[in-house]
Amino acid sequence: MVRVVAVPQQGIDPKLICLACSATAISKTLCLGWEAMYGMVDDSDICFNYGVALSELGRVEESLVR
Amino acid sequence: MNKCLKLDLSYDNAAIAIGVSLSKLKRYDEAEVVLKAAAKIQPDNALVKQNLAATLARAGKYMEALPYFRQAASLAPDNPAVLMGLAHCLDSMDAHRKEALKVYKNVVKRFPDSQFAEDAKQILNRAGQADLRKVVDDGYRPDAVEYMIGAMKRFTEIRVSKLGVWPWRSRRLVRPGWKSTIH
Repeated sequence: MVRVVAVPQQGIDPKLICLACSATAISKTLCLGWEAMYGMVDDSDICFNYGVALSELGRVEESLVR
Repeated sequence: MNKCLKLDLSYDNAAIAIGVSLSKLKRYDEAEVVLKAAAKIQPDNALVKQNLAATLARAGKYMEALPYFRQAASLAPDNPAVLMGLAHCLDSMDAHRKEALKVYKNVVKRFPDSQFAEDAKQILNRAGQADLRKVVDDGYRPDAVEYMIGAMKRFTEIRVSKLGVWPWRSRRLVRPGWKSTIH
């Protein structure tokens, strides 16, 4: 399976959207968003938030390894 | 989290998150090491102190946790979660129970509409009930009377609609077939 994030040329950065969503609640969908970006970009914010999302969803071991 | 620190070793929140995750996994010793290291780097970060204190308390190290809870409370005096953590920690040690009740009362007073206040009220009520059961040598216990008055006030504040239908119905006191002795 290949997961991608489509970024329109003049659209909002998906990282900002996910960050805004993280402020309210962590969901599986949001976690998928972080996961997709985690696989594509080396960004410490993305790695951190992906780890937090995994931990919040009960995947604690995985959050440490990722 | 691992990759986050590899990319940016100075990403402070990652160390906290790792500590919290380790604590969730009940790997308290490792969590303690990570969070203590983070606390050294960020001595004024209330979140680090709070999570370190909570980790130590979960591991049963209340004496060790207490100074960190106090530091977190002084760094973030308006955070009810920190105050509740401090109160729980104090409440776990017999020598500090009185102070714990003071902190619970403080939470109720300062954050009346929060879930923390509700939790604190329940704990205070339970403490009051426990005190009532204690043997009284002479006279009344002012604190016990205070508790009862508080409970009565709370009861009158509850709206009738919240009380709902009474779970029981009034029954005849005289059994069928018996003749009442009241004429």
